[in-house]
Amino acid sequence: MNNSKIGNIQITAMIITVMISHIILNMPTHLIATSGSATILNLIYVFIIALAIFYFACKIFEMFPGKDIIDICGFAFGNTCKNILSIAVCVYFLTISGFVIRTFAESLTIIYFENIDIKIVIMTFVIITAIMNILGLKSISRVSLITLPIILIAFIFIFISSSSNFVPQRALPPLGYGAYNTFVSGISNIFAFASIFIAPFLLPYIKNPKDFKKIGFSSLLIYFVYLLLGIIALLFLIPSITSISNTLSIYILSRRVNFGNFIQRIDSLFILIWVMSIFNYLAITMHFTLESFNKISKVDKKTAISFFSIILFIICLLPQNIADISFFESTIYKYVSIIFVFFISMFILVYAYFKKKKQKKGVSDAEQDY
Amino acid sequence: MLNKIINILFIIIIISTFLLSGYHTKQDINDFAYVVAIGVDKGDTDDLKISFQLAIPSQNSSEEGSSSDSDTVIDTIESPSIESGLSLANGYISKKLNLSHCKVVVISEKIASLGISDIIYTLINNVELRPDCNVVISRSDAGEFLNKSKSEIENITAKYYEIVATSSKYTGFTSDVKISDVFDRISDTFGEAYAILGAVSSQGAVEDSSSYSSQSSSSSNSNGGNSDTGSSQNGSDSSSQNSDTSSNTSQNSTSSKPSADTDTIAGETSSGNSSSNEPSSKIDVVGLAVFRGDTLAR
Repeated sequence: MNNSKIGNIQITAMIITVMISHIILNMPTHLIATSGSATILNLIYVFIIALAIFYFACKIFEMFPGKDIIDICGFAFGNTCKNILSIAVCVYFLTISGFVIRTFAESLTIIYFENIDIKIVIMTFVIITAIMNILGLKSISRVSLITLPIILIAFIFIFISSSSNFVPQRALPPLGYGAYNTFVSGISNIFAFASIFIAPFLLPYIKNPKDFKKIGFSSLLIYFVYLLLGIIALLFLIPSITSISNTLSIYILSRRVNFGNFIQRIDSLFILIWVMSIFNYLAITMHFTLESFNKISKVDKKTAISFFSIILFIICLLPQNIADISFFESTIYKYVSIIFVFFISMFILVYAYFKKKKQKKGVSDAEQDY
Repeated sequence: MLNKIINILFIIIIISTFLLSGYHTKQDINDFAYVVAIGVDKGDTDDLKISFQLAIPSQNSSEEGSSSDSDTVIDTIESPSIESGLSLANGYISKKLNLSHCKVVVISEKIASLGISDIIYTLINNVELRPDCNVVISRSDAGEFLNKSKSEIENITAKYYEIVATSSKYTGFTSDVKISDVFDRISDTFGEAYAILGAVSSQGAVEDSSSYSSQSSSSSNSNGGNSDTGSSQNGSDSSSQNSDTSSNTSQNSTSSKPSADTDTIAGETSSGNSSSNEPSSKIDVVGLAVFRGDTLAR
């Protein structure tokens, strides 16, 4: 794989694209389903925790400049564990990408493509992902840089145009389902920030590794702001968003955008913008799937792309109906990402940190003795 | 060798996906029957009697729109639910029903008093129906309301429905209540839902079946002061006052009587086959219908 460096802004754009794609899918709805009217408070709370975790992770990454988490795992636990983690990362990214494609394709089929087989829609996404990966990460980063401002402006537009119908009383009671659900069991909503997992994989591409902290924090902050806007809009506008059928919640918001008699039903424009976002997301996650796989086997790039595209297509066809997708989003993705991103990864980093520290201490002791 | 096998497999999957999935359908604008209004009544043989007012595009586009030629046709069907009604209607109507241009949903008072949450939830979940479609609670049958909904100064029925509700911008006798508002207010815990209250009145009829206007004119003298509360946005504060909807309608309908002649609020109707001897009927937008929960408050 080509390890040429990429600019900070492009890397930030890629990270934000990956994170913001989950807002387009039903992330705000799942957060509101857990915390109710206290979702805003809960989100601020888990954001602070996510920032703290990311800060500690950055401190550890500073000890391993230019290395991603798989390399650090290799340092900490040896090559076997490194290979296991590589496969785990491949499976993680592929599964999530597969369910993202399936969720979005189902929604597109419900909204626009009633008479078209979902396999066509899925295949379109898979083919585009494969083509983008053939072109390389630099092309993907440039596309992200172009499309991200459009996506962000579209969000702001939806928020502003629906703000006149906001009813702030819908954020009451302030603690939602209770303090325990908001602050204790509500900690599980930290899965909303699990997509920051992509950031360490971009470390080898950053020109100056010291910029990683700045990139990570700015990505987290921008994502938090947009997630908060999405949740405020849904909470204040649609009282029981969780009782509406399982289409994209932000799409339901965009359907309410109208200015007079002329600008009505512009939700198709937003769908087009979100399709671009999903393409970027899939391209980036597929790239890092390939890169993780490349650490354990030296396979030709195009062969690997073809192989993983087939696997991705198969994963997309696994859910039998929309209930399976909803179950995956609300349960499997939530807890797997918490365990994988926040527990296993942090465990690897902390272990590597202590091992490195011990190594350094051993070296300094040896120098002292000498 | 492995590269070749994988590439061939990839190509086979792509080709079979395209060939076996029947993607070659296409639909254009003439393949749809556009519903401009939906009426929901209590059914005789089933739970609901659903009326679909379908636009006839050739009448809409004709430059010499004859007032006797209606630009819509009404189909009525009995079914247990709206979705099944749509499916049944699609079974015998040559074109596929499309709700993208539905301007108003008319629900009869009988159905509204039983609860409208099922109807509203079904419609709000329909991706075709626009969230800014108006909701009218009709004192008469919804089918009759749709039948009488004709304007002499506006040829296009869909346009007429659109304009009538927006008259709230310059008159205080009604409110532009959308289905999204009704849905939100039903789900809210701090307010009551409300909808436009409409009815059919007959002028000069011997038996005045929808006699709300004659009743209301007699009661208007004694109940003169409630029109403001009838237009209240926050139903929960004034729901006890608003529960007496007839007193609300009194002021509004009395006031609307002179204006009905000038056709500002309601359309004067002439059904296509009405003879000069039959009394003329018209629809009136008479105020607001307030709900307690999802049932019409009395």
